[in-house]
Amino acid sequence: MTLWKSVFGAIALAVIPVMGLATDPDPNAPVVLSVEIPAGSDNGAVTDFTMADLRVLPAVSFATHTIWTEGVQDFTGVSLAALNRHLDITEGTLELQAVNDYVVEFAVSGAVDGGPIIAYERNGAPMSRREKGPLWIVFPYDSDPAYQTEEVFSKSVWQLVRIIVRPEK
Amino acid sequence: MRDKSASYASKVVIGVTTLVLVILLVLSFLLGRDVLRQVHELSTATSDNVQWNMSQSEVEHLQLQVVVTKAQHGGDLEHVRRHFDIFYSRMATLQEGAIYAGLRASAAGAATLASIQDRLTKFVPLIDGSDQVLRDGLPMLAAELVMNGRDVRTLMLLGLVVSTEGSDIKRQGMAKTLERLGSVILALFVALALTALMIGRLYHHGRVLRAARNAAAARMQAMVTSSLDAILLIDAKGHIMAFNGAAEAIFGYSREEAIGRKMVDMIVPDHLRSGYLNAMSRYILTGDADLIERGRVRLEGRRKSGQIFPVELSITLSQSGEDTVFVSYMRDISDRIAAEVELTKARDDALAGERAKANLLTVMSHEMRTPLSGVLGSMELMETTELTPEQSGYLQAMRVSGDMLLHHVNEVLELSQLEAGVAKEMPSHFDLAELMRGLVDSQQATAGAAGNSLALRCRLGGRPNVLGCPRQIQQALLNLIGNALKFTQDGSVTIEVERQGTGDQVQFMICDTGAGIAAADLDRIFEDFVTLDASYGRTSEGTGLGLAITRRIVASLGGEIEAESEIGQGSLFKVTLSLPMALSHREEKLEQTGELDVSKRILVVEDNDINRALMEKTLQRLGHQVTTAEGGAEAVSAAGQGQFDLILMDISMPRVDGIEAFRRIRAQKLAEGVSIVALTAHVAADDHARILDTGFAEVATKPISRRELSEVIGRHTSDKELSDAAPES
Repeated sequence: MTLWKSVFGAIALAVIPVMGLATDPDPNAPVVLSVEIPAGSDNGAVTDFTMADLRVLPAVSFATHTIWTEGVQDFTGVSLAALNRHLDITEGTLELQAVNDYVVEFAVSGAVDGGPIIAYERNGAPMSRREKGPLWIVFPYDSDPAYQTEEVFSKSVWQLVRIIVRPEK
Repeated sequence: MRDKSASYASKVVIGVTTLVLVILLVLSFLLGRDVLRQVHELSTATSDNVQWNMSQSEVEHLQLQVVVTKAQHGGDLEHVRRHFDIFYSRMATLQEGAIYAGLRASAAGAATLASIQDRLTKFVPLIDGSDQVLRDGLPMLAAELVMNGRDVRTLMLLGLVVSTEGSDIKRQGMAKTLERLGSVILALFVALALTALMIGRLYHHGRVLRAARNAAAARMQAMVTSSLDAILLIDAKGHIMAFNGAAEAIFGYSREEAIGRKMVDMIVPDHLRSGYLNAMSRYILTGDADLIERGRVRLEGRRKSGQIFPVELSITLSQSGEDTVFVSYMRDISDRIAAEVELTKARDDALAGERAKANLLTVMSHEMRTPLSGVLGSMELMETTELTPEQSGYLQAMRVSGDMLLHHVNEVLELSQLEAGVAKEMPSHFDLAELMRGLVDSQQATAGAAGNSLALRCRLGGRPNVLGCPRQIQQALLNLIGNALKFTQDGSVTIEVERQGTGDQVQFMICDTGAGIAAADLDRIFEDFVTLDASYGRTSEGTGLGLAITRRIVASLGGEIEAESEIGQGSLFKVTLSLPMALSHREEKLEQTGELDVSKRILVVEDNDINRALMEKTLQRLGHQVTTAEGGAEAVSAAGQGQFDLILMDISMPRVDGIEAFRRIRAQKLAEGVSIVALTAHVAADDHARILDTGFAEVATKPISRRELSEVIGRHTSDKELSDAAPES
């Protein structure tokens, strides 16, 4: 299984960027996520991501239960760790903001490989805003009891629209 | 045995307790971690997810209402759409989420959710429609949202109840965990208490044991200290571990000097050193213990002064675990050895004294009997000559005195002879009545001299011939008759001889009317050298050996002797002997007739001139041809010159003695086939044996009577005569 997963992952890694590059980016495509690194730090900037931008990044898939859904759900998305690497974010906390103004902080150190992802597909289909989409921070809850705490649940932000990187206090 | 099982039991208890403690420890650790996790969870769950979602539902509904109202007044429709989606998404969560299962399970909750969902489904075409459609539907939307708001409110209140129940369950879970932890800790406490109790008991037990061990050690110490024997404890390397007071006294070292030093360097004498070291190393190598556990061994020890002294040693091995300790007990036996030496010396001295006495007797016998036989032989010859009555009287007196003297000498010699167990007479046939008559006749003169009558009564049933040892019987009876006559004055002595029925037993009774013997003395009259009552010393001179000799003779014949007596009334001595009846005395008659018939050629060797002359005369009277020789050398040459039927050889002679002469005659084959009979005054047993070993045919003791002489000749010449006769005829 692991072998197949990794093989699949390798194929996905190899194929997706090609697809991304092949399709011309639509200049009118809506921004789904803004990542804001405050000015003053070396890489201070605001990075906007369209869905296509996100899909260019390495995709991760896993299946898990959640307390907000019924049955096993397949999630696919960009891992927070990969996003952090992409944007050269190594420390501090991530302030995750939802469309309903829900805000919660998440330590950069918690964004590990095999950990939380920014899911953009659930059960093989993109998620509408009515279905907690289009982006949802999901943890592989079933893989580790440590991901089954209220704290983790509170950080499972759905309808994610913005991430602000805060330096460590 | 009990100790063993007790220790086994306590080991089991300790094992079980340890196991229980470990299990309890692990349990409490796990439970503790669980509690910590739960406490942490409680502390981090700052916002209850359910309640947050419920309140968010209401907030988001209100926001939706606000944007719808704003939109009715020209506000942004996009806001309406976004807030609709947010609220829709929230409701979907309530519909699907596992944590709202409780809410959905309640009838009211399910109904309320369904009615909200119905409305939302009804709104979807409006929201997803064009702006115009949405704008037209806004009033209806606003009106519906007012009703929807009540439902959302209801839902929130229901959710509150459900979530409270949920947290109640959580708290109960927490309480249960804490309870479990508590009971585990309680169990842990109990187990610890039990362990403490057990340790307490073990401690107490240990104290009791230690007290007992101390007491035992103190007793042991006291025993070791007060022991009269030296006690040394030696370790496997030969070092002294303990040295008691007796050891200090015996060896002269103090405890402080001795302890820790090597035993071999201190108390083992140099000549035993290598032996000791060998034994030690052999023991260490092979476990082969030479001296150990062998009981008492006699060795030598060395004192501090260097003095060597005898010790008695006993080593035991005490093995405790890997530790080997030799416990060695030593006793200084110098005193005992000295006493033993002294005792041995005393015994040797006593034996030497005895030997000297025996020697004296032997010498005396020879020295006295030789002249005595001269005197008696001369008198015997003189009796055959013509004598005046007066001369006869004197001769008689001389004869009595001579006989008495010979009697005393013989008594002494008889004793030593009997002691030595020599010259045992061979049983022969003889006429007991005749022997008795002769015996009584020989004593008539003595009896008459003291005014005693001497009577004999024989009741042998007309069968006087018996098988026995006449000489010894005669000797024993003579002693008894002599005693009876000695102690009786003007009385009577009666001798009765009677066969008991038709059996072998013959009883001799010697009864006198003399002075008698006190009852207290009766038991000891048969002991050696006993002469009773000094007052009889005058009339009853003697060696005091008479009865002792009699007792020995009777015993040697297998008979019994007993005495009865009453002071002033007289004494009765009873001798019972086994004397089987014999057929006739024809043999004896033949012997007697043969005595004078045949003339023999006899060589007499005797250094004493008187005795030689007497012997010559006696033999000539018996009808023999006699040649004499004065000494050994002469005997050898005489034997070489003449032909003899018998040689009578004196043993004690100056220069060449009888034994040497015998050897020379035999070596030179001078008298082949001729018996040589030894004549000697030596009566000691070893003398007889020595003489017979040389090859003499017989040993005849001097003085020898005529009759004895003729018997000796008869015994040793008859064969010769026959063999001589054969070639002649």
